[in-house]
Amino acid sequence: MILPTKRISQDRALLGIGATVLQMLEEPKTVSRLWDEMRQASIARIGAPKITYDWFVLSLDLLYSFGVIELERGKLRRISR
Amino acid sequence: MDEIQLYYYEKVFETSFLRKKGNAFQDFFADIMERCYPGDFFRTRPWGPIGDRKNDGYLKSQRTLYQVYAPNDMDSKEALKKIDEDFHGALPYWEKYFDTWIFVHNARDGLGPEVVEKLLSLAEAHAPLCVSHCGFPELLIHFRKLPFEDAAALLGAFPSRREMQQVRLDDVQVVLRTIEQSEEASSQEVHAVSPNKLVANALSSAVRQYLQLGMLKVHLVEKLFKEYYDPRYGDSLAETFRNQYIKLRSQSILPDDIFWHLQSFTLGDERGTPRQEAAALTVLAYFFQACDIFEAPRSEITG
Repeated sequence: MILPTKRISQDRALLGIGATVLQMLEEPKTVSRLWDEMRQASIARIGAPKITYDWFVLSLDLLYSFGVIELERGKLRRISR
Repeated sequence: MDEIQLYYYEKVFETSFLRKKGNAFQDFFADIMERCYPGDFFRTRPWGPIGDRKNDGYLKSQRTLYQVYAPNDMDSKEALKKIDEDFHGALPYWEKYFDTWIFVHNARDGLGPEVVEKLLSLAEAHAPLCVSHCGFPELLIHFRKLPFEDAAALLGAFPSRREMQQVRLDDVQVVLRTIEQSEEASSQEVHAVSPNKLVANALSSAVRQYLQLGMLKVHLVEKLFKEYYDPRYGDSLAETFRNQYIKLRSQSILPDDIFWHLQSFTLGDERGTPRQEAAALTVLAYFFQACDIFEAPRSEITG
C-alpha cells in the first residue's frame, strides 16, 4: 500500500499521495483545509483516483514517520532540512 | 455437448459424487440412470413395512439389480456386512429377474481388497449370476450418455456466452465479497503475467477456452479494484487466491483440477446461478492474468 502494486496505481499508493500532500504544503495548513484541497483537486482532474479520508490520513502518517512533515500549532507543515 | 460444457459438467458431477452421501447419493444415482434409460430403469423406494427388499434400482433390458451404499466413510467391515445382507436379501425376491448384481458405491479411489474379494467370491459361489460394482468411473460412463439438457437439469445450468456478456460489476463484487471473508491478506510481490502462461501450465484446451471466456469482462474487475474505496482490496483478494493456489499445488493436483477447485473456492460451497458462475469465471480469468495463481513460463522467470 505504500508503494504502487499491480492493483494500486502510483497516484493511489500512499507514497504518491504523500508527494501530492507535500506539494500542497507550500505553507502550513490545517488537516481539514489540506483534505478539502485534495478533494477539489481530485474532482477537477479527470480520471483522478478516488481517495477516502482514511487513506489520506494514512499518507500523513507515512510522511510524519519519514520525518518530512510535522504538526505545529494545529497546522501541518513541511520540515525544512 | 461441446468440450467446455463436457468438462464443466464432469467436474460438477465429480463434486456431486464426492459430496453426496446416503439417500442423497442413491437419488443422484437413480436420477442419472432414469435419464439414461427412460422407461427401462426402475427406481425403487422403501414401501411401508416391506421396505425396498434390497432393491435400489433395476435395469430391465440388462436384467441388472443395483444396491447402493454411500456412507460418510467407507469402512471395510461395514461394507462387507452390507454386501452380504443386501445380496442374500435380494435373492428371495429378485433372483428370477436378474443376471447381474451391482454394488453401487461412493468410494472415489476404489474399493479395498476385502470388498473386492467379497464381490468375487459371491460371483464364484452364485455363478452364473454376475456380481460387480459401480463406482465413480462406471457411473461417469452412464452420465456421459446424457444430452446437454438432462445434464443441466441434473446439475444446474451452464453459463452461456450470453450470460458472460451480461455480467455486471455488482455480480463480480458479490463473488469477490464471498471469497473476501475466507482468508487474511499479507503482502507479496506481484509478477507480470505472460501470454505464454497458458501453455506453460499445461492447461487443457477446455480450461484455456474457459479463461478466454472469462476475459470478456475482466475489465470490470480492473475497474472495481481501481475505484473501490479501499485501495488494498484487490491485493488482499489476489493474496487470497495465491494462497489457495499454493495450497492446491502442494497437493499434487493436476492443473485442470486446480482450476476447478479455484472456481469452487470462488463460489463457496454452493453452485451459483449462471451469472454468478460467469462472474466467478471472470474473477478467475483476471487473477490468472494478473497474479501468480499458476506458474510463470520459464522464459519469464528472472533472478
